[in-house]
Amino acid sequence: MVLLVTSDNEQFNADKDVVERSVLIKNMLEDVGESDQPIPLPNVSSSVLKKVLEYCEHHRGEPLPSADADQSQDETRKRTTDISEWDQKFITVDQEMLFEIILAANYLDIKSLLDVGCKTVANMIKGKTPEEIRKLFNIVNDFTPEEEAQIKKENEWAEDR
Amino acid sequence: MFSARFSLCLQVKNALLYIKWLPRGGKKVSSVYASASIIAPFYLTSGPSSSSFLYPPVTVSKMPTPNSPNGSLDESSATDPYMPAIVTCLARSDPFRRAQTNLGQLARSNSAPTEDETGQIENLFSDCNAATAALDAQETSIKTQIAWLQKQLARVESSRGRIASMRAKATVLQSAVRRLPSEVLEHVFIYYVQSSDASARNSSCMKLCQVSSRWRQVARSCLFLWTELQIFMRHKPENVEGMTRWFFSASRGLPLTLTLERLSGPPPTSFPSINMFVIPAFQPWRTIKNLSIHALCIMEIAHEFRRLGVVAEDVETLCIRLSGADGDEDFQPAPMPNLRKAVLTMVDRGTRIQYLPLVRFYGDFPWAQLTHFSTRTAKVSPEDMLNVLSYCPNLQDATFVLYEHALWVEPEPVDLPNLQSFKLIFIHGASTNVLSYLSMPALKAFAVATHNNGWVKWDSDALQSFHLPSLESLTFYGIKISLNVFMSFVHPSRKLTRLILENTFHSSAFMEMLCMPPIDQLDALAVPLPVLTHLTIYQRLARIEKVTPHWSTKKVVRMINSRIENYEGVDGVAALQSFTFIPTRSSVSSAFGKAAATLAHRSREVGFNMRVQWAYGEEGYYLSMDEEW
Repeated sequence: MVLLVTSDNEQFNADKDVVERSVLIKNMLEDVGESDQPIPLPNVSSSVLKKVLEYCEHHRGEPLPSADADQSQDETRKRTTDISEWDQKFITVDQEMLFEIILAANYLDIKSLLDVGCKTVANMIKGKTPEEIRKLFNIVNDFTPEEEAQIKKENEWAEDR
Repeated sequence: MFSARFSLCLQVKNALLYIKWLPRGGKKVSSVYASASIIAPFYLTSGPSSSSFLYPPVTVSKMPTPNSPNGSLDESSATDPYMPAIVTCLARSDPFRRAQTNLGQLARSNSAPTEDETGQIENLFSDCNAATAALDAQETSIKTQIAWLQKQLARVESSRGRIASMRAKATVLQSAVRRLPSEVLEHVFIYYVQSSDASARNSSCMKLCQVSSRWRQVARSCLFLWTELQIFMRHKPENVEGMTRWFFSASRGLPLTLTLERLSGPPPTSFPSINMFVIPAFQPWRTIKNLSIHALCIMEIAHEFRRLGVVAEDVETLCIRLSGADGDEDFQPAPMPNLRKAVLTMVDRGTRIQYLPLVRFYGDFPWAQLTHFSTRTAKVSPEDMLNVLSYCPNLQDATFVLYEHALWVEPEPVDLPNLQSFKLIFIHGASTNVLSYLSMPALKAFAVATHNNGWVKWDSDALQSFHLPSLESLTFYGIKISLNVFMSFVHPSRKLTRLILENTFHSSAFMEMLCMPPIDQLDALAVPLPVLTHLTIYQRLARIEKVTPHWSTKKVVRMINSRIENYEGVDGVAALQSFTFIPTRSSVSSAFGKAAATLAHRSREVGFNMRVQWAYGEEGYYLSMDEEW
């Protein structure tokens, strides 16, 4: 068992093969060796870690994506935004939690979870106008009038039918 | 003497305005109560520092409440702060209420008033007029205060709204979306563009630049977005040029994938040269590595290619998408010294390139340079395939879609010494005997597929003479073949590690054949597929067939258990590492789910990966030809 300590000082005990889906933790455990020392995760809150561990537990035992696999995937450009049924249910959370999970997956280096999060955000963007995207994610339109004029021109290129 | 004006408190919070109307003497009189807990000043819109809240001056220290005795117009009360004194006095001295007064007695009789009583009546009129005037003034004053309070209430509500908005904005500032690192945002953008409609790739990329400065910056730095450009041949030249410049600038000198796409509908009457669109924008000159052209017919693509001469120089991958196969003009493209990969697709999948060998279409095509060739949706005859292959001795990867066409003349055998991956899709009764004319000693991955089991005529002799000594991966989709022929085909392939089967056998006998004997009785040369590490079985019920397959749970379990032993130290044998099984529910017994769960649990202990999922409905798992395999 591995003891993890979150940013809000909550402690989580988890199986080694579960937490080792995180490359960060796996490397830490390899570096440190057998130890009872808790692993601090200052960038992850307890509510988010709980979700992350739920994901790792479900995908326990599945082969970890290798660097080679990533490369070939990039080369063949066959990445889709399809998400498995369980993952879809898992990632159906409020927007703030979704981004927190993505941040945690990025920090903990859990590629498959990061992919699920990014695919979800990509799916949320799909079919929306820039204005709708801003509204969806509370993004401020900070373009200068000159930039706005340029964007209008770019839009004409792109939307030529 | 009855002038009684009052004012309200200076600073009031949580003011409660209560308005009550009481009928009085046939005339409505308004009574206003303001319950005010005088605690703290109001905060105005500019924030806590702005605490001055102007309120009309008031002389009363305690506001009446609606339920207090003073809440009603009680004439007997001397302390009613809202009642003008003259009204209170008049009410107290009401001469009609008491019978002993002159006017009281007079009111209870029918006598005419005396001179003294007339004087009293005159005085009473005068007092009533004065009291009415005082009430009018009071009413006006109260109405003014009501209006003022309503205005203040609106300001309070407005301030509350602004504070709520401030809170929301402060929450947004802490939002996690702002903290997403650029590389993660880039990751999102790539998924978004990849999953968007291919024909709208340009606009999908551009849209990401129109959200905010940060998104624009991250999108522009994401090279993946800008190294693939689609040019629609009917767009306005100025739009094409603007877009091209943008993509060229953002892709920062990296080789490009350029798609020249024709839009649907009738072709423009005078379509200008592609060079006219593209070349002026190529400043500085850019390398086009992957070129994809959509043309109406062979003749047009030949014409476009002559125009594209200079662009073709660096092309490594060429994808030609044809709307039709008309025309018999010899194809004389500009030299493409770097071309290695070619893909031929047809917009209409039904289109055949028939009776005219491909090599005639593409007379001067640099076949010998090619390492990859694919006719993904263009159907060719087995004869044409053999022709093309004979021109491509350096091929490493080939994909063909074959349709029925008899080999009228005995073809020459074709030697493909470098071919490592070969994919064949058989349609409309194409015969497999074409395989017997191929020699592929280095072939590692072989995949064959068909939509319909009934279409493919498997020539068992041809298959058995088709030796693939280097084979490591074999995929059979929907191929009707007997188990014995299949086993005799794969048995010599001692290096086969990956096997993907879809609807190939309808019996569990296959599972029995795959069972490994105990280690002490193991003869690596005698067992089938001794180094098989990855096995995938899709159960698909081809619509044409009525046979319901059945997979015996016991046999499946026994096969897996026999192959996940520890074979360390046993030469030429490897343990199964993964088993993916996708049966229909009706093709397995009800006990299968439990057995699979037990196996999956055990598989974890031995580092074996097992995945079982149900096929889609009773129709079975239907693999589309579009799926990459």
